[in-house]
Amino acid sequence: MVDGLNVRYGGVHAVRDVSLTARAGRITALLGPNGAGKSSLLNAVMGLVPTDGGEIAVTVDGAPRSLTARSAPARARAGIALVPEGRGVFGTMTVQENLEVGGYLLHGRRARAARAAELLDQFPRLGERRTHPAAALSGGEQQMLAIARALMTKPRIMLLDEPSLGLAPVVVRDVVEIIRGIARDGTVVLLVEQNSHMALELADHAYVLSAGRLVYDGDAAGLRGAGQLADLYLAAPGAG
Amino acid sequence: MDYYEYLVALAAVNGLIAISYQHVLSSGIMQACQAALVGVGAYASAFATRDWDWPFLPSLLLAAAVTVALGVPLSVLASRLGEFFFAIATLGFAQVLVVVLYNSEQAGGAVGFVGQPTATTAPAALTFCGAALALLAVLQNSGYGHRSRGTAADPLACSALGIDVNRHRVVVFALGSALAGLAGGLYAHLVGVLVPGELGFAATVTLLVMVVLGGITTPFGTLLGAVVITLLPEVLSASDSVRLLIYAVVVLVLMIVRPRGLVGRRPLRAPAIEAVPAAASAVDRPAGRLEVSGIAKAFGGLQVLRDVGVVLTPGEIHGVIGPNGAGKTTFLNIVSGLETPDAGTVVLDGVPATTAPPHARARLGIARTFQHTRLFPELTCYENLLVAAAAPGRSGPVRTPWASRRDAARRAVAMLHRFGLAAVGDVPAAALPYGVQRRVEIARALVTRPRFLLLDEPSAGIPEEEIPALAALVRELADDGIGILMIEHNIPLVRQLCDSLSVINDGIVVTTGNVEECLSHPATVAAYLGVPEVSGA
Amino acid sequence: MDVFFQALWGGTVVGVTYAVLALGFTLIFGVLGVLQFSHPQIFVAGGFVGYAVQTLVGGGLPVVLPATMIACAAIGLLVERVAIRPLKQSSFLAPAIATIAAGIAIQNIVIVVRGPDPVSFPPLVPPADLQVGGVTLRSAEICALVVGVLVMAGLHLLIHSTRFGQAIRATADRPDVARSFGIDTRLVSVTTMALASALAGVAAVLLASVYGTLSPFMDTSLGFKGLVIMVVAGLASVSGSMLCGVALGVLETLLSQYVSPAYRDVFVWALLLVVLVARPTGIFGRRVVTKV
Repeated sequence: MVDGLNVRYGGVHAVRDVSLTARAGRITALLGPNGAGKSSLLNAVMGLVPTDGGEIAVTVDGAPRSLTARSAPARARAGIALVPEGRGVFGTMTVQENLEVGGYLLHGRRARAARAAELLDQFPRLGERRTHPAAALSGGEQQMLAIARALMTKPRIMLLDEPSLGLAPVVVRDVVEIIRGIARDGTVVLLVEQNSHMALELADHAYVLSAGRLVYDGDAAGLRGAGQLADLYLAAPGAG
Repeated sequence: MDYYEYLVALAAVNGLIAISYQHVLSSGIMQACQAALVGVGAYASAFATRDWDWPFLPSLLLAAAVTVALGVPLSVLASRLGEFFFAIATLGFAQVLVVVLYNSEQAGGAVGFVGQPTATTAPAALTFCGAALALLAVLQNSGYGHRSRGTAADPLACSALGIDVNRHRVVVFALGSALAGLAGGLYAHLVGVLVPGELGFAATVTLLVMVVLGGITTPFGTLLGAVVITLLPEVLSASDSVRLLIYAVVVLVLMIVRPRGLVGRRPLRAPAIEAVPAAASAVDRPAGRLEVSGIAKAFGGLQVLRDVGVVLTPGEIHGVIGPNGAGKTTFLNIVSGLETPDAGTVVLDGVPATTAPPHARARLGIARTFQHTRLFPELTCYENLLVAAAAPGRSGPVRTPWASRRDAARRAVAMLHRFGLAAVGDVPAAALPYGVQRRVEIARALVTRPRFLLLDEPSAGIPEEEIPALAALVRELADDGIGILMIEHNIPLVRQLCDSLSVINDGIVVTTGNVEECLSHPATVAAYLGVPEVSGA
Repeated sequence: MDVFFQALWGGTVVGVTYAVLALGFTLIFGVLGVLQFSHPQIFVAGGFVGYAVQTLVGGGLPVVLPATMIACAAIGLLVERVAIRPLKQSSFLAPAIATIAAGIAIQNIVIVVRGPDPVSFPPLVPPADLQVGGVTLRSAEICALVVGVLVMAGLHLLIHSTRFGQAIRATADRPDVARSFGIDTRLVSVTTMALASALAGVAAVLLASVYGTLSPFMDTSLGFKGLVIMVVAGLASVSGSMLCGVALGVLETLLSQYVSPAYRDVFVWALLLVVLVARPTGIFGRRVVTKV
């Protein structure tokens, strides 16, 4: 799905020749220390940062379709949704409105309202806060909102950028369950995490990115063993 | 005075006004009342010569003095309001002045002020304009100019280097006001009739066009812009509005073709000075101790830090690690004075510094770098270092401006050599690879001759092959006796470099001391790998 | 008391037109991130378009208002294309200077076509007076108030209750996130520019018909007021701009009536300064958090 991707900005070569594939119904985790290029990669897949060589494609019903030259809105139409790092909720807008913007591509006010109602049922905490401006929500609630907002269009591919960041452990539990549910519904889930414990518990397949390069590509279970990840992660970058 | 002489004089006076404005704007002060300040000077000097029978030259001095007296209190608002709102507030000030003059009978009201002698000759105007240009050109390349460019580009980075940004801006504003007042005096005695409408928003906008069109980075560019804008309508022989129409189109086209102005400042080139022995900078450093304890800080409802402390001694490298959002950068901001803690103390050599502003701490010998480098992007590598060298240092011998300028250049060049940056000294910082930018930032911090250096993720974003060189450099600084506090995510680098370590999670220090012990501590593993709950409740 | 209520009424009417003008400023700043200095000149051009349509074609408000709005939207789009888009990447000042130049151009085109002198603006609704208590309500004033309020209400609805309005707000708030949900933020910017410029046209027609006169040199004082309203209301706060516009109109009129017409602006500025010092983000604005 992503092949030989490169991302540069300023003088930084943030992502170097990275190839990875995420499949429907499975959770694919992308791990790595700070500054490894994980967020750059997700933003490149979404089309928010320009790529410098490489291919991005989605395969629907066996037919691959290249998205490399498409704009971010076009990629959204192709079924990709992003839960951005730091949640990126629209602070001045209410919970309901945030959801409606998430469903911008749905046809018709009624369809948007119905889908928003479904999600508010699914996320009762957000239901209670429906008319509050998003900026007034707690960190955990904002994260729920960012996830719910991305779910509005029932995307084929869900990109999650550090959903556990800054959340209390209890809340991380909730987020884990939600992500599991999303994958169970047949969605491609690509999860970027620094919290490797959480990510490995969730993921089927894992990639580890260090200094812009892939240093691990394999079963997530292979990293669960004591010290395995610590070696890759806390070890010299590029050693894998 | 014939028409051409009048035009020359007018262009010179407008040039003087424009460079007075450029002086203020290029220091990052977004002020929108320069025309009003000119008007203050104009009316003051015109009153002096007409009603009080002052001679012409003293009336110009009066004009400058009155304008400074009015401008300086205004400039104090700048730090209170921030760029954008300060611009609006000064705009309002100009409007008020116009209203007051419109309604003042002594000032001639809407009809205008008349009766002052037309004493401004073309040679006089040219002399003043030339003298001001020379002054500003000299200042531009002095420590004062470096501080101005630094504060315009990144006030926060400047204060971390020891520059008192607010104070510097007041000084800049005062000089800009003095020149504006002087120009106003010349203007009043050139045009014969002063109309209040010429001081308002529209006039300042015309000045802004001169500055931006000509080039905001140098008074020479601005002067050219002023001459073009003054003479352009005169050379077009058409009705007023057609002339203005053509003028507008010319300005628009010039802006699109040269969005940065007609003339840009030529960067200062690093002089070819031989590298001085590095050890020279290390000798004058007495021993000391940086003690930080009990720091707590909340943002909104979020308790970022609960109780964090660290003790740093000269020559020691102390690492700080912890997961994202653990509060490491906030901690560093508190140590360097960019944020005030809710509780806790920062003590340097036994002297409390908890409430000292960042520039004062920099002068006490605390320097820092930033997680995302904060170089002045458009300045060259060498000029970035010169800004740091232009910060008033800890007490030293009094020097002449020339000697201190030579000294600053020498310090900057020595640092370029020491960091292997001599080859890229004349390259704008933004054009350098990120890894080199990191090195430039550390070099810049060191130009302030710190005793303690705070590094925020020095290895983030730099290519792996450059990390060993970075490590060697940091080690060398510590060997020179600098105490280093280093936030870092690269654990091997931490292992290799740090003499001691603190692990922060959830706003507290979960473990501190020996590096290996800290790294293998269960709390570290839990914090780093994100074990959700420590069981056993 | 009649004098007071008369002043209150007059101030409210004028204030509504200020608010409509300032809303355009605010929308453009919020969505495009540019200080559109030629907005007041678009106002002037709109006034003269309205004047031309009414004198040449006639038809009153139902013809003049839409025609003016379309003309102003077109001018706004031209300004966006010529002065803003090519310079958006370069710096904050460059597009501002370019819009200043565009404004001078617009104003002088008006002067070349129609001359520098004020014209008397023809009534767009049949002149009539309504007496309520001791207060005289002129038909032009009632019409301005009604249309102004309707336009603001319409805009409020558009921004708060439609899909496109949500796209505008999302773009102003987080353009990159908005793009990730399929919002074409460039289209949103261009449309916002057209819409905001059309609002300048509405304000021009209403204010000119209330004053009964129109001058090509109305731009400076109105531009200043627009900026003040935008800042006091808090950058990019639409409902705040509405309230502040009306408040400014009323305040100005009352100050002229009871304190001093000559020094009216001095008080307005003093008030502005108090607001800025007390609340540096404007009355309705959000606090901007800067991260180190």
